[in-house]
Amino acid sequence: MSSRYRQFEHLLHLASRQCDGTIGADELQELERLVAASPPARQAYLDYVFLHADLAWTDAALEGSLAEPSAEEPCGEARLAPCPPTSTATPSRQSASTWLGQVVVACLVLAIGVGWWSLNAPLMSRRPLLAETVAQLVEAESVEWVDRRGTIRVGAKLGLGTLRVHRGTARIRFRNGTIIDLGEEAALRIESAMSVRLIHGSASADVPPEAIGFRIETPAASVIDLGTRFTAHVGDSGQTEVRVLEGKVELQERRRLPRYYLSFDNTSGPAVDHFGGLRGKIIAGARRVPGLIGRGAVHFDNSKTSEVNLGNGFNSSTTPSGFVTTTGITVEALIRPDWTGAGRTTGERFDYDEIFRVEDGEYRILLSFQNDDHEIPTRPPIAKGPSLAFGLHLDGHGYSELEIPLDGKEGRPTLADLKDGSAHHVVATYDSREGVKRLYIDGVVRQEYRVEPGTLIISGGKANAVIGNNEKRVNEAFQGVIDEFAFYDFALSPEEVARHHESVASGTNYFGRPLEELIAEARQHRRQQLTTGNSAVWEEPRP
Amino acid sequence: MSMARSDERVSAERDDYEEFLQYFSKSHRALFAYIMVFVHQQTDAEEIFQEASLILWKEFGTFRRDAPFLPWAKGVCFNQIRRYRRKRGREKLWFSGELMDELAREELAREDVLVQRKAALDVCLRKLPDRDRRILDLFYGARKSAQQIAEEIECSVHTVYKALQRVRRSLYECIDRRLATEES
Repeated sequence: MSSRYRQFEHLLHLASRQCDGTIGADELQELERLVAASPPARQAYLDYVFLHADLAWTDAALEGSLAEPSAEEPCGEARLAPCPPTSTATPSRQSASTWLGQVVVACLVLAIGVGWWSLNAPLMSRRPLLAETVAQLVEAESVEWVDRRGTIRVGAKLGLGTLRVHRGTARIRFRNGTIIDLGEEAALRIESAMSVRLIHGSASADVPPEAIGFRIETPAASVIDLGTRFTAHVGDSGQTEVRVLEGKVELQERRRLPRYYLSFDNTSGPAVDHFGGLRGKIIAGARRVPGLIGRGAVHFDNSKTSEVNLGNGFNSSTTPSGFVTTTGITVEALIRPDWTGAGRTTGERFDYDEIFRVEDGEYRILLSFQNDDHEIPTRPPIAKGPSLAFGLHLDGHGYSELEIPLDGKEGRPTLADLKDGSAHHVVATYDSREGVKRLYIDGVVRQEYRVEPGTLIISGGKANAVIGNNEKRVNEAFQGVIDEFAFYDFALSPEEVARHHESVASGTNYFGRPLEELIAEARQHRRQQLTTGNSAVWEEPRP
Repeated sequence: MSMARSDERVSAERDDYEEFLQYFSKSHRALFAYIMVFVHQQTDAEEIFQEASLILWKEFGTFRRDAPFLPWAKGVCFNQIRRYRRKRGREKLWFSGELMDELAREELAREDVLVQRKAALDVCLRKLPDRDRRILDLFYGARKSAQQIAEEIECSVHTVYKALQRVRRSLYECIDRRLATEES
């Protein structure tokens, strides 16, 4: 029997061209005639365009099935073979205006689209965020996954995401050969091809020589493999126990210091990140000016290209996780804004000035001034008008924004207060242990939002982190001065933020100590090497 | 210290919003797919979806709670599609209004089948060879243009379109086969 596709082959060929946007006027006329001809023709057509529509929103359907490029396979006309990427350019099938629309859609939908995801995300917390997979589930012994209705099939390819075992055991193998065994009640986040974060429970690692340097981050320490087999266990209090079965590992103390910190005090070349080794490219429209603190800062002129581009951080040898964070985050900056905040009053639907943004779609992280129609729901809801916003994606809650209305009410500053010519200290934090997002201005919590304790952050992707702009360059550049930018993979406490504010108010950096001293201290943090048969227990650092 | 407004209006809005989330989270994917049926291009669909989502929220007060949400929401979306067509009619190629109305009716009648086809699609996707998944991921997932994909994989644009057509056909036939097997 002839297939339905064959029966309507010409119609569906034209439908395919329509879906791809390549159909001509005559062809469309022909397609209309064919579709209108009979109910079966309309059904065949609808089924085809629905397939196209489903594929357009089927990240979860494709989840775990991302193909890995096989560089040896040649391209040809007859069949399409995956070849090594020749370009890392960001997708540009969208115009800036529609991209902006997409952001709004994504924010609205993903802020409230949790139900769909929870039904369709059997593999990991969300679709792998890295374009390429970095690991594979190779064994699963009677495993039950936490909060997931589906199961992860053995052989599933894994990108960036969180695995939570409830019962049973699971084994994953990285492309570099590293094998990780997860025990019951283990929660582990794959943060890059060379690092994972053990949030809770036990994991055993068997790391081959070619993957020396593989890291397991825990709340208490970075466990760096030096060619070995070892186990790590993280308890409820964040305490970490490491036992070496064979070979050697190094434990490095985790400090309550930024992952990345740019003081902008170096006067030439890229902006230097003092802790993570990033180099921030200062791009046209942004220029060095005298510091709000220290020697230098950066002025942004609100032009489309003005930004300090930090890259995505994945190439950094010291912090291979880039801007991915799971259990906590702090974004901190000193600013002197000149944002007009006119927003809707000038007929624009959006008026944003970005302080910091990593535009990873629904997994974006942002700290920005905003004045819009609140088409993206804020949590908690606030009145329309100029605001300072902190956007973050939380597992099970989707992307949402916490916003401080700059309305002068209830002790909040107005925009005019922030434009008084002085430097102002802005901080955004999220702490998964408490499940609380906070926004601070000048050392004081001005807005907060709570979710259930233990809720993890979902972040990461291909986008570059940008200070003073949105990487997509859609007229969201900052106007004014930004200084002392810091990014942490944990939440500063209210007391720490207050101390940082006191420090900058008295003219020093956040830590009230010479930067050189801090850098030296960070490099000399406590280290301990463990060899076969040895173990150690480290406590999580407290504020 | 929370500085959320505590007046009753905000509280009521929040309750409404939570209820809206309940409905919308179950339907938004179907609504986006519905829009795609008429406009085909993701960027256009997103623009319409954005507007429609907001109108759904704004008009949520008029939604009768004893009626199903999806048909009501599709009606809102279809109005937005018509509005978009009027606005962008000259820039794009469209079916006639009569055929669009007919397809909208047909789509509603075919809703159950389309749900089954979606479920079958998930299964069929898992059976695709890696190279076919890759092109779908580049086009639909990474949202690259055919030109960009062609550059990336060093093939002609024509080859990319042919490959997309071939993969969609393969999925279409796989879905048909699965549903036929289930029925028999």
